[in-house]
Amino acid sequence: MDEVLRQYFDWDQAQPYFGDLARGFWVTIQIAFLAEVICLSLGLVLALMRQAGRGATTRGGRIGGRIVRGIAIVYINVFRALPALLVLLLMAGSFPFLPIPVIQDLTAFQIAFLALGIVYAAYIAEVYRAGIESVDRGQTEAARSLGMSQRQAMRLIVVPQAVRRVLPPLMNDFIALTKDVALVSVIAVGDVVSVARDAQSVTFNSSTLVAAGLFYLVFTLPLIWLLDRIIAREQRRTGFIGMAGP
Amino acid sequence: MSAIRAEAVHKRFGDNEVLRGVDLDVAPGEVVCVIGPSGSGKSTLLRCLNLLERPTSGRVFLGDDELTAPGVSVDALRRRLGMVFQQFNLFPHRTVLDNVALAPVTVLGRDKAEARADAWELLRQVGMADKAAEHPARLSGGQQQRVAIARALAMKPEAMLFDEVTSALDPELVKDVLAVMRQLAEAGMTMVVVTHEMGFAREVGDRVVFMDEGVIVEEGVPAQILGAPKAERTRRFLSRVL
Repeated sequence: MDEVLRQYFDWDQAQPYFGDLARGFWVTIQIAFLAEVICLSLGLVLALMRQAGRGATTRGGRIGGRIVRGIAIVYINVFRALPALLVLLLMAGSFPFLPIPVIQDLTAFQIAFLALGIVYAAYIAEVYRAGIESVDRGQTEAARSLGMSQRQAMRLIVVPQAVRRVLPPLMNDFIALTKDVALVSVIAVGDVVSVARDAQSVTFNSSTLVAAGLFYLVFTLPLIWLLDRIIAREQRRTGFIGMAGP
Repeated sequence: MSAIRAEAVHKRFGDNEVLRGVDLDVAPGEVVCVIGPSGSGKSTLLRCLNLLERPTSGRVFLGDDELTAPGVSVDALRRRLGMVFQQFNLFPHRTVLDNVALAPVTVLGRDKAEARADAWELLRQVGMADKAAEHPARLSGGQQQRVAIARALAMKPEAMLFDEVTSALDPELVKDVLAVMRQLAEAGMTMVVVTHEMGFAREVGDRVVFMDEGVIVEEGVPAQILGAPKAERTRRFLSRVL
């Protein structure tokens, strides 16, 4: 029994690595937030591209809309279908060798958050889309009847309401993204999981991985708790059960 | 010259032809009430007048300008027409005052402080100034509809379209909304009113248009259409609603 406990909870084994683990978790958090910024903005762009051409009155507008929509749909479906790990390995393994100025100079850290941001943008775009499509058509009609363009109606009327509605699933995806930062342990960026695993391979003891898990819990459990509170409040207020995330 | 004119407007949704050639001419300052059974195409006609629905064929004019002309800026013409909806469609994420002041600022580029001052005045006219800081969800249907009227008026439109604006209201709230519309009519606003309120049509309307199955069956002064209709279909409709 002692043997078992020591494998996971040996403080003496984990303690020397504590500083490294803390630094590693700081890297994890940075990657999570930077990737989140990318996927929130790119996801919104993709969601808006998916609505392009709605309400177009000219033939050119309709055809242009169809092309823009097509690009967005291909992006969203491809990145939802590919494993994030594969995208990460592909980018990290090839970018340094490309004769393209900015891209070949990207550090492993930059590639890490870019890859996660690019992949998660596809999921986020779908969340935004659900929100946009849940806003009553009468809202757009009222805006258009006041002389607003389709773009103004989207920006001022539809998107603000949509984002408010999808806040819970967006938070859910942020939690999922934070956990998926563990994937970057396969490239050399020094995130908390890679630090813990390196230590484990030296000590043959898993306590550092357990410690990494604790770092994660300290960060994600409050987020989950906050998310549940927001959903509960939303339900009390509207009687509407928020959309579940993936 | 007419304020609004529709010429041979047809509208088809798939196989369903909702409008089968409608001509309508509204003079400046005139109040035209459109009545008819549900599914007669009266709301679709109204929505064709500001191109929320694009007519399958036919032409729509606002003053001298044709909305249905190819390449015309519909947004620019549409802001000259106010519209009020059955379901109010106030913007729930904005305060009452913002609902009214938003379009003048974003569409007409007016000064924000000025637009808000004007919005106050309009809210006062419809009896809603004391709710200016509230969000729409906290208002009754009748109050929301009066705000919606103020919102449309804030664009200083040449004419107003009303799409069954009292149909979603509890009976005791209808009166206030109709009073605001009557005020507007008396002030000389050009209005096209799709309605089930025969009393309003009789007292406020300059002309009543009866529609059925996508065509105008008959039109004339309210006393004649509501009191002594010529067409059998009008008589049958009125016997059911009066």
